[in-house]
This record gives sequence, C-alpha cells and structure tokens, in this order.
Amino acid sequence: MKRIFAFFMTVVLVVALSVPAFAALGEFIASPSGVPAPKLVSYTPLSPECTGKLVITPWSERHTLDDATRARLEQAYNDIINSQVINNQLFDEMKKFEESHGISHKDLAIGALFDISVFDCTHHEAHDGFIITLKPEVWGNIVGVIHLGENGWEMVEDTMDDEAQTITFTVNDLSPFALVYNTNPDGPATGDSSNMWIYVVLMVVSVSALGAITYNLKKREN
Amino acid sequence: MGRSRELEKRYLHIAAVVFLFIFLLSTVLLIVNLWENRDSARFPEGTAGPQSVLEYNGKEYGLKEGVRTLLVLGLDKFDEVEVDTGYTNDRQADFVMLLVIDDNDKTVTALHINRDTMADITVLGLAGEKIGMVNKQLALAHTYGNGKEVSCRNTAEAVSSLLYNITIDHYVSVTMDSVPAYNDLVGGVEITVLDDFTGIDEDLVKGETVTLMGDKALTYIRSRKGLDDSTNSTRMVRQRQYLNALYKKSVECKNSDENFVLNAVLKMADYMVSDCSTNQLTSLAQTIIDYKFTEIKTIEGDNVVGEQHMEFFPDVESLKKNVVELFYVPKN
Repeated sequence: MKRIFAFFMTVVLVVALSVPAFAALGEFIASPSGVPAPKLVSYTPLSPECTGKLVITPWSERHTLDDATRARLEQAYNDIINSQVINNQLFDEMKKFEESHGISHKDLAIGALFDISVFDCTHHEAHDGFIITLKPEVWGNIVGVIHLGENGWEMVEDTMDDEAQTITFTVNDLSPFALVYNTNPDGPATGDSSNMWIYVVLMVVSVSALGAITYNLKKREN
Repeated sequence: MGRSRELEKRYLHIAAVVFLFIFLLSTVLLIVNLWENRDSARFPEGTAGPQSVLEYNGKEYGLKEGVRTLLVLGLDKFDEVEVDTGYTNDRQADFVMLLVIDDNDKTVTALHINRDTMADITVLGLAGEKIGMVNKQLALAHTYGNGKEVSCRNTAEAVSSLLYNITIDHYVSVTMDSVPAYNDLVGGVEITVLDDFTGIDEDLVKGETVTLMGDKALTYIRSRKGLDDSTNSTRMVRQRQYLNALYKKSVECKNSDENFVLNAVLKMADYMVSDCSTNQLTSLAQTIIDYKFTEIKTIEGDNVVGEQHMEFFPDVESLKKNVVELFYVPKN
C-alpha cells in the first residue's frame, strides 16, 4: 500500500513539474515592446470624492492619445528639444535646477517624456490635483520632475525614495511630464566659464606686455 | 649709465621670459578649460575597448589582428526606414548577427545572437544623452534613439559590451521588407521545412523541400506564434538554415554576374541603415562573398519566462569560448 501510494505521489509530482515546462514550450510568450513610461505606482486624488483613474502614456505610444493630448505632448517634446538651442521658458526652469541642486544646466538631460491623464471621473470637472508616485525605468542620477502645466513649464517639488526607487509629487493639473537626469554626476561642474575669461585676460595682458617689452628692447638697440 | 642700461635690459629680458611663460600657461589652461566644457558627446563613443589579453581555461590569449566586424540587425518593421521624430521608436532588433571578417585567414564567421539575451543597455534621453543603464532584452537596445543611426549604435554598444568589449566596426540594419526583396533577387532560396506551419502557411509542410519566394521567405524565418515551439531559439535554427542557403545562392549570383553585389546593395538601400557608404557596403559584401564562409556560431544559454516576456541568459562559458575563438589567438 505504501509503495503504491509512493508511486502515485511520484507520478503526480513528475506531472506537476512537467506541466509548466510543456506549457512554456507550447504557450506563446510575446516579445517586449517599446520604451516604457515610468511605472505608475500609486496616486491619490486631492478631492476625496474624485473617482478618476490615472493613466500614464509614454512618448512611444502617443498615437493612442486623443488629438489634443497628443498635440500637447508633442509641444512638450519640441520645447525640450528647443531648450537645448534657445532660451525658452523651459530653459529658465532648467536653470532653477542649477540653483536647487547645484548642477549645471548643461549637465541636465530629459530622460523620459510622458503624459498622465485622468479617465472615468463622473464626479466633477476639476480634480484639485493628485499625489502621484512613479517608479522610473532608470533611477540612478535622477534629479527631479518637470511638468508642462497650465502656466507653462514648472519644476515640481518631489520626494524621492532611494530604497523603493520611487518619486512622489503633487500636481494640480495633468499634462506632459518629464524626468530630469544629471548626465555628469561625478565630473567637475561644466558650463562654468568664469575661469576661461581669466585665462583670456592673462593671455591678452601677457601678449601686450611681451609686445611692449620687445618694442622697448628694439628701440634701445637702435 | 651704461651699467644701469645693461641692468634695465636684463630686467626687460627677464620680464619678457616671465610674460612668455604666463602666456603659454594661460593658453594651455584655456585649452584644457575649453576641452572640459565642450558639449558632452551626444552618443557614447563606445565601451572601454577589448582586453588585449584574455585568460581562458588557464591559458592566455592575445587579440587577433586583421579582424573586422559587421553587425547586422533585422528590424521588426515593414515600413521603409524613416527617421522617427522622437527619442524612442518601436523598431526592435529582432535579428542580431555579428559577421567576423578575418582578412588574414580570408574567412567569414557569423555569430548569431539571441534577441532575448539579457544585456546591459544604454538608455538615451530626448537629445541622445546617456541617461543610465538597464538590463533588458538585447532587441530593445534599438528602441532607444531615432530608429536609425543612433539606435543602431546603441545596439552595437550593447553587443560590444556583451562580448567582452570587442570592437564593432560597422553596422547595417534592414527592415523586414528587405527579406522577400533580396530573397527574390537571388531567385528564391531552397530549404527543407523544419517545423510544422499548419495554420500559418499550408505550403510549408514539415519535411518537404521547397523554394521560398516572396513573403513565404519572411514567413519561414519570422513566424513564432502558432508553432509548437514558439521560442526565439527555435526560430533562430530556421534563420540559420535559411541564411546558409541564402549565402550559397548569393555566391552563385555573384559568380554569374559581376555587377550582382553592387546592384543588390543599391536595391537594398531603401530598406537599410548603415554607417557605411554605398562603396564601403559593396566592398564589404564583396569580401563576405569572396572569403570562405566557415560557420554560424551561437551562444548557448537558458530561455526563461520572465515576468512578462522571454529572457535568454547566455552561458558564461559558451559566451567566452565564442569570443576567444573569434577574436583571440593563443599567446606563445
């Protein structure tokens, strides 16, 4: 009886262990796709009665957004690209990171651009904002969140949890967001050109002095 | 009077030397300052470079000379290659193969790399800056960047990093449209069907020998869903079989038509992104066909179902063995 039971249990065990293997072989496992948005870990509406659900859409899936939202996201993209070249309002906001984090704006980069929209809220039109927690794809060297709100680009006050690798912030309106990274965490501050002018002045002074001395020496010889 | 003049002259000489020194020093410091403050490279130049000496199985191996590499990427998109107006794209590198051209031995060896290989990939920001690293399927390295050169170089960097920092000299990526186009250019490719395509294509019967034409070629090397074994590893076996046959047809075509290689490169240009000019590509293609093709190597490892997707973990021993055999020679 014991042997029969042991045999039976062995068969059950073997079959149970084999099923996942066969399932894996037969089951189609889809390939991963695209660059994801940061993971929306949690959100809390500031209005307790708000029933809205937040959905985060990465740049790579902007085609799924409605026309107006997609246009706003694309405007955000253009602002970011142009801020590298011209001093637009975003550029001014990025300069604030220099003051708050001591990082040159030249070392700052936008690492992720995405949209957060609210759906299925039947209660009201204005939501009084949300407290949002995100988990970015890349954590190291993240410095903050920037947001294209109703009044233009603004740096968002945030709290970072290094252990959970999450960033939490509160916003009163939803629109494109972007994560800001420090591309030069270990190097010296770049973009600091004050030393350059000292060297230029020294060069000019020394060349002028050399010129004057040479002229003086030649005059004496003549 | 004369003595004081001499003294003045001497002081002037000393002053001239001092100011010359100041001028030279400030010039050097200015150059260093400008160099440090230059705009950081939009794209990383690459990894640290291969080790000149590699230890394997208790022996030392030195880098082989006269070796060039061409990374070939097959993108899972049908469209003609367009620059994506964004910093990310949806073109994964579904097919990854490194051609190793040995100019000393006059041989070409291919290393077929599983697209699901878990590798360290550079994440790029909106303006192409390096933001950080993630460990993901190798195929996804191409989704960072503009879908063209930036994405190709990002993938090349990931492959280099995977293969002990060996140098990737050139890359070429092609979209899926290119498969039937080139397949038909060589007059079709004959293979013996390895898998059961019932429900996918009734003309592809397991065990039968068929000549693949047009989209059937793409179906044969691309299909996974609906097959008994839908892993990429099984698909790679069919891809290698097809490539071996395609290579032989290409050699036949080249031997019968001296303009075949140039015409093929020109025809494929619409489907292709490369860091090579047309002349360089033609020269490379010519070399690959002229040299002796040895084999298509693969890296052994384990397919694991991850949280959501398939993950391939290369066997460390197999990976190193391939790198040593392809790029190193025993040090005497």
